[in-house]
Amino acid sequence: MSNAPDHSAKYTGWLAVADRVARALFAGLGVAELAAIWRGDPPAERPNPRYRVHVQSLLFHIRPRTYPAASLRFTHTFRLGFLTVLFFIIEVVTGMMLMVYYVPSPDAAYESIWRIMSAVPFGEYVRDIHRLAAEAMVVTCALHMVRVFWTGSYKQQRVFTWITGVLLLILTLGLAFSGYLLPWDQLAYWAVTIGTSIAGAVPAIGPQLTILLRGAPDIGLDGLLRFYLLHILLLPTLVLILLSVHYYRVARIHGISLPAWVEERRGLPRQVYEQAMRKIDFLPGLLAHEVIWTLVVLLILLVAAVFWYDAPLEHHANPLRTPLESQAPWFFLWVQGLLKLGDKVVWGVLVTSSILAFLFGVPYLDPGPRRMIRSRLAIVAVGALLIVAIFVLTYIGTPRYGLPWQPAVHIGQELLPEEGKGLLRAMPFEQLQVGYYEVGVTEAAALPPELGRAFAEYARLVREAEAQGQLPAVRASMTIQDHQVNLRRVTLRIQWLGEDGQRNTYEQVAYIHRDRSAQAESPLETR
Amino acid sequence: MKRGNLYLILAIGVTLAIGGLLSWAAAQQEARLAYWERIYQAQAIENGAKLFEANCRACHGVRGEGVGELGPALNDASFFTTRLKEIAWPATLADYVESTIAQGRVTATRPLYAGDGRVVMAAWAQEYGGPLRPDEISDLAAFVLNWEATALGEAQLQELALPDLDREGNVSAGKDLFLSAGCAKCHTVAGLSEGATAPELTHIATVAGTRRPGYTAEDYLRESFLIPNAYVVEGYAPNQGCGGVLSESQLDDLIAFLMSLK
Amino acid sequence: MVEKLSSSSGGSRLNRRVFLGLGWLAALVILAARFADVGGRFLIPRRKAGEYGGIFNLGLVRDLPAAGSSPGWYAEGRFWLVRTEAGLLALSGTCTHLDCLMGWDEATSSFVCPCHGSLFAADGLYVKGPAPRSLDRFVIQLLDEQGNIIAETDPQTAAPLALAGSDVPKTSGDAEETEDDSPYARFSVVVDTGRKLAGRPAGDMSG
Repeated sequence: MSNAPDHSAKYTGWLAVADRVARALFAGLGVAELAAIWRGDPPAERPNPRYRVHVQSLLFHIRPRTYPAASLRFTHTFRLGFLTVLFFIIEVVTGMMLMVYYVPSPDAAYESIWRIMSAVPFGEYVRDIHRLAAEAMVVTCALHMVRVFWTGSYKQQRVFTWITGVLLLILTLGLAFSGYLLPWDQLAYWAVTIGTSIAGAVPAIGPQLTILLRGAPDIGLDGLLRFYLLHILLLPTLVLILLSVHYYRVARIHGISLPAWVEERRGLPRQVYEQAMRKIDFLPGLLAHEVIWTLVVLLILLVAAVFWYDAPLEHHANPLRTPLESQAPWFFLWVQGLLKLGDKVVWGVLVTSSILAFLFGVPYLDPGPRRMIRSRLAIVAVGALLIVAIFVLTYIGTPRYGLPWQPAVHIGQELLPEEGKGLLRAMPFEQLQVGYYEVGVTEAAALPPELGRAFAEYARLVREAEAQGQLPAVRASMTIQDHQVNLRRVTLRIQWLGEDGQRNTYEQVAYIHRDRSAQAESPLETR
Repeated sequence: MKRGNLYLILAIGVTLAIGGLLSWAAAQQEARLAYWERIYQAQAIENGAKLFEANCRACHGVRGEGVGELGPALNDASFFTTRLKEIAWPATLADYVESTIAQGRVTATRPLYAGDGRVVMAAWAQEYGGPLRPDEISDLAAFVLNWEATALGEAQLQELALPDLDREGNVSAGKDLFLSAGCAKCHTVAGLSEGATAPELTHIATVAGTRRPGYTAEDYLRESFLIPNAYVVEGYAPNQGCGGVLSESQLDDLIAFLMSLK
Repeated sequence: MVEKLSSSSGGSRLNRRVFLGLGWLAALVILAARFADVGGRFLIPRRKAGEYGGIFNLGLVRDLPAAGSSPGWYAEGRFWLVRTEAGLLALSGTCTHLDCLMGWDEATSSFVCPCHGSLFAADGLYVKGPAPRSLDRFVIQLLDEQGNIIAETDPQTAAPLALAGSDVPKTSGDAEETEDDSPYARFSVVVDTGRKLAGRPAGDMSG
């Protein structure tokens, strides 16, 4: 600062003090300059003092001074890289807030999550935003990679940036996966058990690898601690390091790419080219732009958390009971789909490794300098096919696809699923009228409206199974009894004639409490 | 208006919206927190109900009414009003219930429930070798404590008269149950099992109807399983509790099997 | 000393300096490998008796259920104890597909996995489903009163552990001993959940 020309001689009195303070706080920007920024005027001094900020300030050191105009088009980047970093920062902040209350022990983790929701003001929202932004981060990270792939921005100087980007995608998935276990509910526990057992498919070292990840043959205290440390220390540190390398290259070495047509279209008018290459200053316009984006994203997250989104929380993890319809986290459903196709080693390990190898190898598989799509048709086609394949595999990975469900079990799961709502919890408690109702005997119209609808659905499913020959000579009943105050016991009993001529019975019992039926007393009418 | 100014207006709007939303949410917080607390309690009671059905009803009754000399009632007024004073328990009822479930009872505190040299109530906490996690024990306690309203007469439950169900059990399933649920260890059935501490069942189907006046064979068999000591056959010691806990349909199967032993 | 190390000693390519430098590099590589080995061992703790991954003492042979009865579930050890005519099997309760815990279906006498519906017979053999192999088996040992190992599951074949001479189950509750009480009846059965023997691949149905 001592080398900067001293402009304060122009001012007297408190204005001189203000000017000096301003230059100290705002990395060399004096009062006049701040006023010019505020008014939207060009720089008030020469040389442009706004550039000096990029040298003197830690926060702005890594940001570029100027951007070529064409690289800032929304339809070129969709701000996906920016959004991914924004979501990461949101995750770090909300994560640190959650860390104040979370306890990483199997005996206390689940209860600490409930405590955050029921005893910590705004705890519910912090948790919901943490979950939502995490999923958003996985999505924007993947979309960012797709965008860079599509615009061919992985060539020449950008090859290593692409490599770090793929690594960052893997780390992001790792962060999402390690965080998935922490609530220690049935959803988390079995999703991660399935996920870590996929590692067991690696030849030779597979079983050892699984034990290494879990710290024990099954997930317990060791596994939870390991995943917690991965989630809050090791993976975020790796992300910070790689992100720094990645962004440094973008900001300082090669910049955001221009749309391919600016660089490669033949016969581009000179004036169009110059407009595209026009330099836009980062300060103040783009900074304000980024701040507004941040605020908008925050507002969207907050509105979603307050009015609509509830991060899921099922029953306490039970290592001795795998619930029906357990599945991997949604971003790994495609792997689960792969495993349904055949051998664990071939489909689980080889295919996944090939996909990863392809991703890392994209710049080497398409080394030519041309970025326009028509010059890269082969690899773009392969990439598009891969994206489609991932979607299809994700669908295959969902629990209902291709699984041999016993019909009675399936019907029971529709009405009273082990985890989640189901038809009978979706109505107010009063409508769970005490009584014995038999399919084919009781009229749905005689029941309270929502119970009648649920009962009609029950009857329909039973009749459908009977018509398809799955439940011959079926007798199905639903009994609702008062068990305690505010607690009703619901029994579904389905009897049918088995192949040996003997009667088979399937019984499903559930207890429904008033406060866990459709939340009739929710303080927010919108829920 | 210039684009820049439009952006500024948007920025002001969004900033105020966030601030406003946070203020509104702050006002809602008490209600929200109470709401989640209620859901948590409700879930605890539901879980406790399921656990009670699976583990406790054999001795404490389906509705917590107690079973003979096996286990005291947990749903009556005395449990909620005088029990703690009786034993001079220094802490809360919840603590009492959780502690009893976790550690069991080596000796009964009431002569009626004194064991015959065996442990009166097993320890249920995993800590002491039992099957239950700490959160399961809390859930069970929440369920038991939920009997307070009906115990003190503050609420009424609707009774449901279940129709006489045409209960047909699966004989071969019942036979498998007889072997796997531990019946075979104590009851002799010629050609199937050898036991000595409990009455022989080789011809139980013909005998059952004659054991207690007014009881049909099936009623008698059902009661013998659910409340073993309601009627003790001469020459045998009172039962400490039959095999395991069965579901309604499993009990039907077992009875169908027993009724096939003519 | 720094100057001495960095001063060049010209001449042929492989002189003493280079050789010693390579030697140091090799030693460092070995040290790094050592650290990795120590780190790997550090990350996998020993399991104590009664913990999943450790050993479970199931009591005396004479107190086990008879051959042919339904499998017994041992929750702490996550295994099913099956007694066939051929002997004892401790089947891992985790499905060989993706580690979900399986249930026993009495009606079909088979193990069913709730996750993707894999089916296994009573002795753990693969029947159908996406599982790649039959159920894994834990090593079973028979110990006498002094704790010596009398018999152990063969790790190569993973065949059921024969309980010769003790096929007649003593189902009575009293502790009378008859003269022809087989010595096997008084041996202890120990299941080692730390030693898992992989089941046969699903395609290979040679039993």
